[in-house]
Amino acid sequence: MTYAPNEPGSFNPGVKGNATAVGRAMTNHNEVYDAYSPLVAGGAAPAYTTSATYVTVYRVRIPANYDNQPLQMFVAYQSDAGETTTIRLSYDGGTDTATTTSSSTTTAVLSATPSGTAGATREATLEVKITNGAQATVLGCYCYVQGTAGTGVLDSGWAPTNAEFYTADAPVPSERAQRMVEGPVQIAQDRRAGLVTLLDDVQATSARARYYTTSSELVARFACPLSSQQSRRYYVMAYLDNDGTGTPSADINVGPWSVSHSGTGWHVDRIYAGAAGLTLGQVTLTQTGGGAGFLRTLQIVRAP
Amino acid sequence: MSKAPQSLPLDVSTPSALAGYDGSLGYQGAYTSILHDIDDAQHALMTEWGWPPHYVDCRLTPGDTVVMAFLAPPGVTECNLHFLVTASVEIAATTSADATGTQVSRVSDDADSQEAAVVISTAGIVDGGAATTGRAVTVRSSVTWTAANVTLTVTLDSGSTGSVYGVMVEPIHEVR
Repeated sequence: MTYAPNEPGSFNPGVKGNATAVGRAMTNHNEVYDAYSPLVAGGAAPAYTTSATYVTVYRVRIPANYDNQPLQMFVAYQSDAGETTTIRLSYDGGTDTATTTSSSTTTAVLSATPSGTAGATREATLEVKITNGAQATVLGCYCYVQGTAGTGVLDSGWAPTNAEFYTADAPVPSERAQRMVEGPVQIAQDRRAGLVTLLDDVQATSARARYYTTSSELVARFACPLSSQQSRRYYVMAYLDNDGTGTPSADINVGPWSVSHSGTGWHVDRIYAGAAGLTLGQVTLTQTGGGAGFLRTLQIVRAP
Repeated sequence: MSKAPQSLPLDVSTPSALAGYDGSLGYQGAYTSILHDIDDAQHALMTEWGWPPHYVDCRLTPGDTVVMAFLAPPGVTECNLHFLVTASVEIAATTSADATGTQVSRVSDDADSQEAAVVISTAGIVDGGAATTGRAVTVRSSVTWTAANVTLTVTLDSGSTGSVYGVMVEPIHEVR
């Protein structure tokens, strides 16, 4: 079964939903849980390694997912001919791997089910290794959380309901009606839609990195679709790195809204932005104390 | 009959009254309104509100091609493309479901500097449009209500003087 829209007007005031329409709305309650999987992050960011042990090439943050549903990552990658390239997705206790020996672009969908307790955000990493010192290449990825409706009340508050209300003269359990009213909101809160991803190879030095500086400069501009009809919160999540010395800091502007961060690692902020439509943003990176500073990941994710 | 995509914010409403189901009359009064809200919220999640555009970075200089993948939302057959570009560019884009694809261009004396980057876009659904009309790209041939993997290939013509810094895929949620 898949989600199937009802005819418009099936439940307009004065229009009595028939058994088909009522049954479909109830079936859709579960189908939406299974089918709603907006992109959280993605990008076409070439990454390379010759390492025989796993090295991290991409870092992304996955907000919410209190239901611990599996993270799916679509990956395009390739290997030096005859050698074995292995990619591994890790996400809070869950892992999945795929391999190729082909020098042509190969795709795989990795699936990692987390086992930990959801915080505000959790990190997922893509690692890669290759045999005999050859070169493995990762061309890009995108990822999303894929739900499967289970039984009982889940940690997000969402709970399934059976298509059983339309039996003539059957009592209507108010709890099931409540589940259907709140269901779409609970799903939206647990699976956040990403709006912007700037992704770079975690291993890239200043000779190859997209976003780096040894002083202070604008390293990226981007377009952000703040298309909501009302003001709402957005997560701005950035991973800053250095080459072993110095301190990186970043000023991130999304239209008139701005956040600043200093130090290596993940930085997570929330901005409360208006209904601005398509908005240009930019990242200014500053490095103090010597060395080079890097922006490895920037994600902007809608927070219902 | 057709049904418009929903773009309303998802807000929690509380059932205020429940009435039993009558086999011949259906649900009545307040409960009918609750079902209306439920149906709209489900459809919002599966259409415009739930599947917003997504911008990803890429770096194309004249003559470069990049192949990337994305998830085509349920119910969507065509997507607009928005490119963050500098100077003069001629861009061609195809998808795994659209070999003809689309072309967009910009003529400018601006320098090839990221500080001066602007967004140029395809023009939406153009009936019978050729690639040169700058039409939206097709991502699947018919409507299905499940998401699907789509490959997007973007080429910056070698005669360009600028760069492409990123691509935003905007699903077009048509009335179904």
